Amino acid sequence: MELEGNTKFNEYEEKIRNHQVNGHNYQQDKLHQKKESDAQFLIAQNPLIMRNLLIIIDITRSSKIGDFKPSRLAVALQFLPAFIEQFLECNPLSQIGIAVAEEYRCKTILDFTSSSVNIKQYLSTIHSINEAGFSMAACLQTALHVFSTTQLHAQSSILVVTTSTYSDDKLDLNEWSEKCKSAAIQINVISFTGSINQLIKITQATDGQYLCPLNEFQFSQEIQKFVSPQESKNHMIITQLVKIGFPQKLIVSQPTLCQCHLEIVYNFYKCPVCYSKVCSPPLLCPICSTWIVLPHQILRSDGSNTLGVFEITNDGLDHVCSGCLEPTTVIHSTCERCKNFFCLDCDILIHSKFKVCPGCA
Amino acid sequence: MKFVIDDLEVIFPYKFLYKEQLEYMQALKQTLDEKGHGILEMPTGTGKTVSLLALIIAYLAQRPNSVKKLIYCTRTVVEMEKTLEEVRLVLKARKAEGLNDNFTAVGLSSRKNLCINPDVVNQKDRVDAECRRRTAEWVKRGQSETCIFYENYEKSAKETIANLPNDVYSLNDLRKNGAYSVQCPYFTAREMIKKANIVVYNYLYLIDPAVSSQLSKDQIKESIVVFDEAHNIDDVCIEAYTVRLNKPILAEAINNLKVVETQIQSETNEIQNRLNEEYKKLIKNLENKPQGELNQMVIPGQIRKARNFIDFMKRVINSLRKKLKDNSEALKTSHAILHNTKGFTEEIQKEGNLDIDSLKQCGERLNLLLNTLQIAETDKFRPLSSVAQFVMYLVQYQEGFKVIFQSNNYEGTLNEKLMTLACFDSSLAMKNIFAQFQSVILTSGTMSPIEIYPKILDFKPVVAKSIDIELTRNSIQPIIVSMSEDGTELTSEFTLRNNEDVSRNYGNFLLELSENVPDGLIVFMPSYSRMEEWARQWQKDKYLEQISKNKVLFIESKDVTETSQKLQQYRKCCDVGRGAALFSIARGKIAEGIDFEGHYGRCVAVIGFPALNSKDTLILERCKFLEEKFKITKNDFIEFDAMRQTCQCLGRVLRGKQDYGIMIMADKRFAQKSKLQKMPRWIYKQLDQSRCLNITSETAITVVRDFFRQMAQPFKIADNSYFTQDTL
Repeated sequence: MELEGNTKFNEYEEKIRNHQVNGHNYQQDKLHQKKESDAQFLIAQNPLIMRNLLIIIDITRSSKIGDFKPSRLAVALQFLPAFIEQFLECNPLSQIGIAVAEEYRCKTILDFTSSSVNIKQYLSTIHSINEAGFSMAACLQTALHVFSTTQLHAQSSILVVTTSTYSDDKLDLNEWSEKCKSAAIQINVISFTGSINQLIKITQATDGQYLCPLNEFQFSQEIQKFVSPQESKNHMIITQLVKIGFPQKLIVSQPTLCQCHLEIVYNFYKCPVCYSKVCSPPLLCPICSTWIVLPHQILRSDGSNTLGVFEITNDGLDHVCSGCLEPTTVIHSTCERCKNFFCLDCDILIHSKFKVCPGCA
Repeated sequence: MKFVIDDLEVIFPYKFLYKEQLEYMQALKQTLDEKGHGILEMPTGTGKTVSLLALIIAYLAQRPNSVKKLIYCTRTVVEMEKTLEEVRLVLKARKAEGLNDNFTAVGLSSRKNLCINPDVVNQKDRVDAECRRRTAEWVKRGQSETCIFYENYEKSAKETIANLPNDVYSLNDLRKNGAYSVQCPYFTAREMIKKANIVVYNYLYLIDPAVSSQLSKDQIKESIVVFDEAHNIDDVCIEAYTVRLNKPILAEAINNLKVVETQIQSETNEIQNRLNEEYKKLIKNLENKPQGELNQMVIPGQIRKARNFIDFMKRVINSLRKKLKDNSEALKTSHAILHNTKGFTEEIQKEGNLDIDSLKQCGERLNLLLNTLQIAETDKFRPLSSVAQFVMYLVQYQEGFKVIFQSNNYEGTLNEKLMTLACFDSSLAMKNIFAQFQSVILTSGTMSPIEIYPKILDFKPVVAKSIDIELTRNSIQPIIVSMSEDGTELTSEFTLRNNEDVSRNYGNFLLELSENVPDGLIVFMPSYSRMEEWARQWQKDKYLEQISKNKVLFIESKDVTETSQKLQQYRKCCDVGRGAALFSIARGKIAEGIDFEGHYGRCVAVIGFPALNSKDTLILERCKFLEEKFKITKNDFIEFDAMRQTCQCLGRVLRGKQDYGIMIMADKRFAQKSKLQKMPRWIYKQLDQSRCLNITSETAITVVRDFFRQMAQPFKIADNSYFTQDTL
């Protein structure tokens, strides 16, 4: 993750170098960017630490329809990776699972994990099938089954990407949606076909959202709404003590099987309690049920306490930016807490990527 | 909310008043002010009934001298109940505003719906007869079983009714009151409509001559009569005056006569006394009549005696039988035979040696005789009364009637020759009503073109207005599909009925629709025979199988109870998100009066042009008559009729401002200009000429997909389309 951050940082540097010549426009541009990143930051601020999201993708016959180019499923698969990445970034302690809805049933293809690489890999294996028969009740049944193994203090939500105009259930849909409601599972639907009355009712009952994008672009926009957690009225807040372990990172030359996904890995983390090898924190240690997280993930998910929006100060004085340690000119911003000055570039970078103020930390 | 139109203070039971409701009320008030008749069209589901009631009740309260009573006519019992609930709402709002007015509203329905006698009510079809058997005039002193509810009603009806508080009495209330005070609700309601200022009942109580003569004769002139859903009032009028006879009916009538005859000839003193009494009474009536005014109410001498009357009726039936027999021979070679009423009357007269005055009065005389003989089972004597009705109308009305002989199936009789006295003049039934009452309002969601109604009903409206709907978003999307994907024409034309391509294309189109329409899909087809034909073809080509994967499939049948069960199941399927498709007939029960609000109806598809069968003799004759009298050409009329039926079907889908739906017309004939002009304005306005007119089925599906996505976006009604108390 740090590596990714670094590449991003290099891009920023490059941009700064390229834009220096533009002078005044450059400043305006930066201000605008700061506004955007601040807005994004405020949305992503969440009081909840942990979220578990199960994405269910409808791959029945209607997913082949080509009114979204090239097909509805392809559009979904095209924009989901970006969404997942952002989701994991904004909610560092969260996990995502993937399931597909087939003919009258729903199959999990990936258990909860927080490794976006892993998820993307599995997403690419999804293909449309030829049979009709999307069943919402089957999806809920699977979801309940999957969520039964996760911790209670995490907010659990489902995101159903549906391409059908019906829900052909062999089970009683009302019964299962009631069960979901009592288990405080939030149901969200993003539909390619328009509103189905019953599904809207279910989403409203569980404080979820029902979205219906008009075109490909809007799909990519609307799906972002699920990044930040939705307010849920009926969510019971369960507070309990959680056993947390900070793992040790190891890089080895010989291939090893990880305990969580049973895959061959070269770099892994070691559980501090039982020394089992896991690949991508945060996750629940499959052996000893310790919650394995990296320190910066906790820091970031509790980001509202340490990082606020920086105030823009325009006092005309020269300051040294606490981020890049270079003198700033004209416009700079200050952190409310530590009163350190930052240049706009660092400001944007901190709010969009690090989520930690270097001055406070 | 409270507001003032001109100088009339109207209290409206809702917080919002839509613009078109205000417009509607203004037009209505103009009609009432001028004491004339009016036609008003306003789209379905925009609160037509409530605005109408709010205004008229305000009018009744504030202008007690000019109008005294509201008679509201509905088509079905369900609509009646709904209307009464709206009345209750309006009156409640008025009370909340502190107005103290004394309105009594009452609904009247048949015995079947109102009876509370446990012995009678369970007998379903026999309720009427059983009730009569217990409640007829002579029974009370007799020995057979009586109805305790009726007896109590007889004893204390007057005071109970006088003591009833001013309120709204729906059928349920009446039944409840009746059960509480052990009084017959039916007769109480019949008594109450004389006193109440708001009366709600069925069309037929005013239009059907047999019923209206009993029920509506003592209505006051200063009344407002409202016909709701009046778009096919002309059909109702015509049906009320049309009488059908065939061989079994005539044979039954003879049997009836025999029963009557044996009763008369029986030696018991009682019956003889009663007959004598009746005879004396008739003569007395004759004496009492003022001089010089020998109007029709007098029973002519020839049939004054019971025995003579029986003879007379025998001759009538025999001559009719002979006529039927004569014509049956000729029917073997031709489809139908027509007779002018005048010639036919003369022939009958010659045949049976009958005089016109007696023929005119035979219906009246028959009722009198049946009463005297204390025969309660009127349903058994229906054949005889139909015969009497037949000759009565035959003699009474010369124009607008024809006698038609046909060989077709009527009421389950196979290949029986049928003699129909067909009425073509819809103004006949309405004439009395227009003369009898001060203001008559015809209103409906689809009454376009509005000029045709004054013509065929023969009256001069002071206001004829079509009111538009103001939509915040384009919540209805009419689409006219005229071609299939491969470019072949989509049409239900008679000449192409054996073309398999057409039905296959329709099947394909429906399959695509079922895949892309969420929740409820309603498909209307021109006729049962056409639906069967298509369904067979679709079954063969596996279309039905595939459609039923997307939607649960229901098909309307001729059986009413079966259909209503299917409707219930249909709604259930929509509720659980499975989605359902309903195949029904454009002229069937579902097309009229059943609402598919919200998700129950997201798309209505009219497959094929629901034109009347122009080969049918009755319809041909009707067109001819219309052309002669009102200068309406045959094509015009058939188009008009088909379009109003279509629009009625399409109107099922929109029941309010939040609602949305697609209206598909799949036939190339819909795209013709003459048809487009006959659409109501509110539908025509929404038709996107460049995008949705004359398109292929493939394009239509694209439009459908886009539409449903568009409609799923969050939405709020625009502020400028309604008024609140503050903005008025």
